[in-house]
Amino acid sequence: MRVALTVAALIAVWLLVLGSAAGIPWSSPLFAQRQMTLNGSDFRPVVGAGVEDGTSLGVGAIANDGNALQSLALDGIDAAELPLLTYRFEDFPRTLELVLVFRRSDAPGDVQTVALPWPGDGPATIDLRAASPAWYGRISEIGFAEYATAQLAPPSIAFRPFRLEQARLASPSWHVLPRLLRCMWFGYQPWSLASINVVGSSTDRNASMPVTLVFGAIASLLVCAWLLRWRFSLLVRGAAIAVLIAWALLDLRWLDDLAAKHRLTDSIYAGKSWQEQARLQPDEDIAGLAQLTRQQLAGATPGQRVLVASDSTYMLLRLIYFLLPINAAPLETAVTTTPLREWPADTVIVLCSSSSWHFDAADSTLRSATRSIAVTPTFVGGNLGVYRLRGGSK
Amino acid sequence: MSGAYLIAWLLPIGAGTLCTLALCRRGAAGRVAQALGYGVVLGMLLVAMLASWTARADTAHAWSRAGAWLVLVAIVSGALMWYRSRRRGANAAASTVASASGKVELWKRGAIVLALASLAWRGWLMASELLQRPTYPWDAWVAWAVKSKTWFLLGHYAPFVPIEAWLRDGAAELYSGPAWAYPATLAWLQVWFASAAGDWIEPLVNLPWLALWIGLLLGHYGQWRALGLYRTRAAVAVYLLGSLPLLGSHVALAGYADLWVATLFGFATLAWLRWQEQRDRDQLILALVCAAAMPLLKLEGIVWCVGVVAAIGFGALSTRWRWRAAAIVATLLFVIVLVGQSNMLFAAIGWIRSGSRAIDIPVIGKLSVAWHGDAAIGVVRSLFLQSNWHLLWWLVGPVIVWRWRALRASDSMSVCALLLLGCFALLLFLFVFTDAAEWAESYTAVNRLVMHITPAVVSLLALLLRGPPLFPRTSSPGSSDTARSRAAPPGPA
Repeated sequence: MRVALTVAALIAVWLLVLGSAAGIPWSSPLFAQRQMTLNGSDFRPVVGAGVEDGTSLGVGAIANDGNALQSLALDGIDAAELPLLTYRFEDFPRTLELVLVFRRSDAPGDVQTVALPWPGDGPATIDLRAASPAWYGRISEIGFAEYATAQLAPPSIAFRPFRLEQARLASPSWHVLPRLLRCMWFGYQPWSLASINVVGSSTDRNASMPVTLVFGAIASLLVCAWLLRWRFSLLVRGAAIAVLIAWALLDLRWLDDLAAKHRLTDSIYAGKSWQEQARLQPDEDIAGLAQLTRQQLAGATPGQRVLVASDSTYMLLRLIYFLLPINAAPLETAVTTTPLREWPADTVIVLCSSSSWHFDAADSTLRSATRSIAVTPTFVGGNLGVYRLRGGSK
Repeated sequence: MSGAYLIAWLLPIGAGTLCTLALCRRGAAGRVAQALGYGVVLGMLLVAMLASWTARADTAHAWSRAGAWLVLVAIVSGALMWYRSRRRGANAAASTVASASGKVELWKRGAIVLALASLAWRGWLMASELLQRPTYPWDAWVAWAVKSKTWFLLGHYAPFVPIEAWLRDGAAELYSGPAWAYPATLAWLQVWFASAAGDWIEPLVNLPWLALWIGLLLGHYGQWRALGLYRTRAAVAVYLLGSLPLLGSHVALAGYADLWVATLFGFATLAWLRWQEQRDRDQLILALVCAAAMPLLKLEGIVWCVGVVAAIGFGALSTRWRWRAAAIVATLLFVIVLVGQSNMLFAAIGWIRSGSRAIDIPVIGKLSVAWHGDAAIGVVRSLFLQSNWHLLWWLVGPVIVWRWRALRASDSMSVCALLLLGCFALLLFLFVFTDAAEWAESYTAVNRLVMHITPAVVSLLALLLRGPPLFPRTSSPGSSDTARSRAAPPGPA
């Protein structure tokens, strides 16, 4: 009897702990009281191309900028009533990122976005109240956007056709708990530049799995100690076992995540030679610009100074890295630290997607808000400009 | 993969292992694991140093130029090991601390096999990730690989200087960049592997990070065994250390120096503990070598180096002198706070100037001193809520409370705990009371700097759990741990 009572109490404890972590109110029913099912065929392709395929939408192409968007106008649904989103895709490529976009009736000009876990096989569920502070009021439009995983998947090979099967908005209920927790804690998120600093996302608003396990374990131990009348030594032993189990669970999650991350890398680079791997840069646009710059600088000696400017710090530093061993450094640092008159006469300036510097053809000068540099253009095309320093800068 | 690349791997591992074996007592538990672990890491650092001395004029052939010297080091180390093992003779076996034999219960054996299999599985995943992906994380290509790629593709060494000097001396073959002042040890290691591979192949120059992880685990296992941790507990501790997610990220996304610093700090601490507990002078040499290598990897390494050397000195003092030393340090701190102005000279960094409201550290810049609440929340989230450390930081407090008597009873463990407490307090001060709070609020550096002391923290927790069975059972007197604890009580003096 005592054991049965303990088992029942433990089940109650874990339902409470996991339900709280998933944000399901204690008073929620077992099944959703309200729900709205949206078939894939209800969505229309706004960016990219798609065709109706039964009740689903087949997305067969992306736009030139590498994005796709499918959208559906809604009749001002109440966000607070339907916070749980379940979505199902088929053949969704691992190389793409998925984002939910929506508009509220009170701010029709603002597009809100929520990064969604990769849909994988089968339905995925997230709580939009926890995922986005903007999910409130009345929702007038909802959609899905897809693009190549930033800094990981080369856009030229990222897209493969997929199908949007179904989306469903529902009120909170207990039966979605396992799917909600699976998506929350085990949902795949690709490597990001921040992954070296923090595991997972630093902006993650979901309940912490370590904290949930710790509180669940403490509550379970207290229940066992009380109902089974454990002595202190038994409690310590139980705590040690609980720690090992919790650690193993957290580690399983990390291993699952690591394996999922690796599957993306594998899908891009497996079976390729070193040269092909090196060519398949995720930022292939910058690698292309570096190649073009290198051609323009053919014949430059290792000593020749090259100064690079770009609006994007990432693009600037990445371009400098791709250009090595060409002797390059950031232009902005150079102008703030060293007077122009002290620069070597054969200095080359490279502008790459830079709006803060522009070339004034009238007097052959590069100008920023505070500086002007007399130059001779040697190549200007698209987002790239290559200039050689002339005397008379100020 | 070419034969040259294979040899480029075998040489540092072989030379490093022989060097470490020459410094390890024969018969000590975990000797081979320790020698392999320390050997891999120290061998890599040796290679980097030799390459920086011998291959400046011809980086494309760095491996063949430095390789000859490495072979010489291996031969001398081998000879020294043979000579010392003959001199030490049979009495060396007496230094064995933890029994290697004994029956381990089936379920424990199964759990350990599972844990080690999970380490092997993640090792394979990380190796596969490393061997496919171009250099990925930000600082890896902004800071750490810039020098190595430049020198290798250029075919020779060229100095990196501040941008002002770079622009003013246009005739000289100088380079510049945001990380011009960073130590070049890892750059030379990458040059070594690139030269052996015959091209700048990023997965191949980043592969040493996997070897580092394996070396970290082996080295710690060997030292824990030598310090008296039973095989089962040492294996569990290896699993706990090897499963820490942020360490895994630093291997899979190779290119940062933090894991190297963390490994050397852990190695230095363990070798010093062995000297403290077993009076093994060779381990003191190892500890000092590891400590001295940290500033060669990352500028912050000098702080940890000073910490380890201070702990070694403090541990060597008698109780009376420790109190005096503590009083002197406290007085100095009091004077600094009272006067509100002080200058301290640190080799390699320069003058650190501290005032009542600001600290000026070369390289980092001027940091104003003030309380940053959001940063404190960031630190708590990093350690306890995020997935960086599993439950490690949740365990530190309870384990110390539970094993408080064991901690107080062991002089070496007390000093080790003080060292780690000091390091942690320093990090907390940096993140919560200075402008570096920004790094904690944005999570850009807080975890990476905490990682530097993490292997040593795992060591402290693991070593607090050595000794007799943690959960004595009268019903199973024949259990292996019980039997062993009766036969050979560990917890050396």
